[in-house]
Amino acid sequence: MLRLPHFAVHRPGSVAEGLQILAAAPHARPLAGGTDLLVAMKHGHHTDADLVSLAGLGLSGIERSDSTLTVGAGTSLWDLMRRAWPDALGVVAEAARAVAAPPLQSRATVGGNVCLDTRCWFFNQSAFWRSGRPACLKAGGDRCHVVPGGSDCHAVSQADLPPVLIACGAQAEIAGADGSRDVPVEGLFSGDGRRPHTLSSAELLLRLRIPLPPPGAGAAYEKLRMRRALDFAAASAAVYLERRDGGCARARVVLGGLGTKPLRVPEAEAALEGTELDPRALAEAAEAAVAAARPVKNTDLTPAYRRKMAGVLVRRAALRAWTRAAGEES
Amino acid sequence: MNEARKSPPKKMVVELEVNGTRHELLVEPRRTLLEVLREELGLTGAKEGCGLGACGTCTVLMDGRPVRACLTLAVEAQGASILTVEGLADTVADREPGALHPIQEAFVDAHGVQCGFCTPGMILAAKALLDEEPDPDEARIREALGGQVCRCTGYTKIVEAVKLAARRLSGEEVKA
Ligand SMILES: Cc1cc2nc3c(=O)[nH]c(=O)nc-3n(C[C@H](O)[C@H](O)[C@H](O)COP(=O)(O)OP(=O)(O)OC[C@H]3O[C@@H](n4cnc5c(N)ncnc54)[C@H](O)[C@@H]3O)c2cc1C
Ligand code: SF4
Ligand code: FES
Ligand code: FES
Repeated sequence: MLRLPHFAVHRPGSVAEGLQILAAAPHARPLAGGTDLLVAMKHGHHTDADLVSLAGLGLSGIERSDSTLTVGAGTSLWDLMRRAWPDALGVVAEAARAVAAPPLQSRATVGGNVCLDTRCWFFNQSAFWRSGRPACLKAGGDRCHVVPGGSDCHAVSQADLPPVLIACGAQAEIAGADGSRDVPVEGLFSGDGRRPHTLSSAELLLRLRIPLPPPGAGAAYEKLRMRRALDFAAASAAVYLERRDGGCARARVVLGGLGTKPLRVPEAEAALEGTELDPRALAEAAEAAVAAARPVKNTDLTPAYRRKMAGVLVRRAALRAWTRAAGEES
Repeated sequence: MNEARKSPPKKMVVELEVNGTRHELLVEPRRTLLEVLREELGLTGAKEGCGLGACGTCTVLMDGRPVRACLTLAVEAQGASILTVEGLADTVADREPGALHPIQEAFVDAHGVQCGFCTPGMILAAKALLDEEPDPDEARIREALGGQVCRCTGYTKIVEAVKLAARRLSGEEVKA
């Protein structure tokens, strides 16, 4: 059997208690569904960590107010997918459904997905496999095996929910010793493959707040991967549109799997806004996505292909979002 | 290095209901549900293929939902009710001694088993689907089994087995 290293598991009964434990033990890590963290630990990463179970923090559940949908960080993807969503936000369930497979969705949480570690061919391997060469930057070493000579880590942000949450304008509630604050989900990502999130090790993501879109909004998510189950995104695109008087009044375009963080593409948004999504606008948006993508050779499929697909995925997602915005299911 | 690591952390008490029997166990916090099922309780139906969530042969039902036992800490399953393939047939009311569950029978009849290594996970993933959706179309069956890898049969006969099980469970009499 592939064994886990020794660790203690703390089981706090409240957010305050959980934060206290995290603050007191710098090596402690939050454990949500464990479907990312425990894999990394079996691979010999974070072997000095104790775990703080978030199961008893009461962070699971979805609430709707007049203006906002609030999703607890502990909500499982399984529950998320089975919830009736307002049409314009069905894209959140669509992205959750694209994660892994049902027996992982059952335990995987929204918070764990947003906080998913970045990934790389050289990092996501067994300790034995990795021992064949010196440790890379993300594993505490002094070099990168993907971009030799570089001092940056290019591990990829491949989680499926963040692009969609950013496209839908979601805010994240973060709690630390000094209380809690709301930041745009976009602001949670640092762009450094080594430490991809802006949360400190003593902070927790508590909730996500998704604004209820106005009438005429639509969104869609497209994911490129080798197999239709289990595989992470080699590239993905989330597009959110608001349609007014037949034209596109607002667009948000976000790429996943194509950089060290989810990439917002303002040029693609500008290309769509003010148009009726005519072929020319779509071509410009696609071109902007290709230009914004930052694939390197550290995941499935070649960087050139993934880059090209960034444009294709944006076009497909934009068209589906547009159809949805028009009130027709695609 | 973490101070706590100088000596292994204290064992923790876990209460589990496995196949209808309650257990109180003292386990190391790092133990997975799969290790406990196989090594403490002697239930070897759930298998370790990859140990990393990627193959599905360790899939069991936890409170009715399919989970990866290799990525679920036993202490995180505290209070849960677990169903493994060993307990599946006993979920049938008034079962004749030795009789299989209809999903198991369907896998036999539709030739959905070759080496059998993936079979316990396949069958439990199928049970979770059929409990929620008694009459799924093929696309739903393929989605529900999407996380279960089989290296022997190809998936056609496995999908046929689930279809056959669905028909039988809905009361239709379908011969082998
Ligand atoms: C075979 C396989 C396939 C997969 N396929 C995909 C895929 O296609 N797409 C995808 O997106 N993911 C995929 N995953 C990864 C993972 O299953 C999901 O991203 C899942 O949503 C992670 O959630 P979790 O609750 O299990 O996270 P955990 O493993 O519990 O946590 C992940 C990280 O987030 C931190 N964390 C968790 N919750 C919080 C919180 N509230 N506040 C602060 N930090 C927190 C943890 O400390 C840890 O570092 C796959 C995993 C496997 C094993
Ligand atoms: S991109 Fe380079 S530094 Fe980062 S994980 Fe991969 S090999 Fe390591
Ligand atoms: S052993 Fe658990 S998924 Fe492979
Ligand atoms: S029957 Fe051999 S792996 Fe599926």
